Amino acid sequence: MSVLLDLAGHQLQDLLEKEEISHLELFQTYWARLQSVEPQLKALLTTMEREAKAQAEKLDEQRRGGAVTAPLAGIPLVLADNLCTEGVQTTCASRMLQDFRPPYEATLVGKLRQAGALFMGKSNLAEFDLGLTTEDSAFFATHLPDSSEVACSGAVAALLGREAVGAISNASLNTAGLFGLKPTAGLLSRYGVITATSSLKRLGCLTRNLTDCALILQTICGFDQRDSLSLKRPVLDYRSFLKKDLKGLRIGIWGEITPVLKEISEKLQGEGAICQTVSLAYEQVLLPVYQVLVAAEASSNLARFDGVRYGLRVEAPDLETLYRKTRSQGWGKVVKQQIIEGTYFLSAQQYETYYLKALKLRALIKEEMAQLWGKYDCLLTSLAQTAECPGRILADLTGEPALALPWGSVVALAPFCGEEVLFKVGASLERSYQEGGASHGD
Amino acid sequence: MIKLLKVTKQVVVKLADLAMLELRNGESLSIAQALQSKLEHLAIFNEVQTEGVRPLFYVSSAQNVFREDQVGKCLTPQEALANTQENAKGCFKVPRIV
Repeated sequence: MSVLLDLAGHQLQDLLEKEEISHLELFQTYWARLQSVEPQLKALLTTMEREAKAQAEKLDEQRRGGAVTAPLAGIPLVLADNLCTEGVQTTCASRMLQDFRPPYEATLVGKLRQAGALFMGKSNLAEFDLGLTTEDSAFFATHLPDSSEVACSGAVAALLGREAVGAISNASLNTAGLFGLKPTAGLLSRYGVITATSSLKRLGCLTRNLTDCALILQTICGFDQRDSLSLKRPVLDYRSFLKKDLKGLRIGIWGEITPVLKEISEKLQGEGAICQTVSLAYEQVLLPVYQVLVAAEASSNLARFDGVRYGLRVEAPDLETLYRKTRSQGWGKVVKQQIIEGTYFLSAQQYETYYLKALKLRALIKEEMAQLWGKYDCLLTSLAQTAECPGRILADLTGEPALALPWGSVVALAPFCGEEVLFKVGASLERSYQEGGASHGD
Repeated sequence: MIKLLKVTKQVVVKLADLAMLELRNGESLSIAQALQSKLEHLAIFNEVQTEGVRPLFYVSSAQNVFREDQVGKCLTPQEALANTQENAKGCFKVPRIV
């Protein structure tokens, strides 16, 4: 296997800047890797050889004419297939959108393109990101050793691309030995992201190291007036947080203390952090609240798919039959289940009992977290290998950031706009594990 | 207060009708069973008092986000129609409704 595949994104950029390799050579290395592995792995729904090669050649031409300053110049990336890419098939892993070619691109995609990234392909996911694994994709399941992983992380783990940007859903918090950052709600623009749940699942990035993660976040975050809930905050130099020390950092350890979580907390205490176990009063309602809100939002957001303006269309003698047949044939079982449940929770008789109640509970959960952040700077928790694990969904409910660590399914949570803490903690552990060797798994 | 209802196949058929879905044989029953199971778990909602609590619709405090009423770039009619299978005279075409 080429040595280029072992290098971090920022290391590849060093080689490119020194002209020790060309952008085309780097692209060809990753493309060869993709061709050899992808037929068995099936992590991608669409490959983008032509676009990526063209971008690489353009960068080489720019470099011949002078310096290339784009921050992600030449770095191969994988995009999740719910990010609109202009002119390129974007399906959300659903037959409902199987021939959809967006006439515009997502803000994040535009930023990555301007930053010089090469898009190797669009990754598989659960249909409209409503299932847990790619077994719920309408097209095929990705063949990963651990069926709890999703294709975006699998694609990066298999080196089809250096890193990935996509929906960091619950399943993606199980990240195949990668860092998975889910930033604060509103830091990344949602424009051009096709999502079934507007206020819950969010985008983020999956990377092999934190330096690349910080670089990607810096590149893609920022206010976007096309997203009405985009945060107006300055773009920070996230890489500067990678070297900060942890003295006095207050870390709460939440949930079951697995051997890896114990090891991680001991490492952090060795760096000066103060670790204490914590419990959450509303832990038992996290999953029920999440389930109601996901179903309700999905049933509402997916109402736009009617066969008229885009996507699958099943011919019918009248309009209503066209809607019913298109919607019935376009979606798989999981999506239909969510829509039916959401329709129930939003119905006039059940709205207050379920949906409104879930929103009130969400307010209580957020209030509890606000109090917790007065005492702690960061929470660590271990994700169980089940969908019922509350650690998977707390960040979705509160909009606060989360960083999945590549060791033992451990996730770090931080307050609103607390990415600095996540990078500090993650970087300290990254240095520790690099010096001491890899940790065992769960 | 949650009072557990029996989710029958007929309830699911009615919900599907509201959601403009046609369910195939067996789908109604399996969806009913899954929803019933979920409702049983949701009974935990009864254990937490939420009187006087304002519902949290979104995680940030943003409200009524407006923009200036200025014309900006938007899709051309050709771009907007590019993904539809049926169009005529610059419009989306649907089966007659009258």
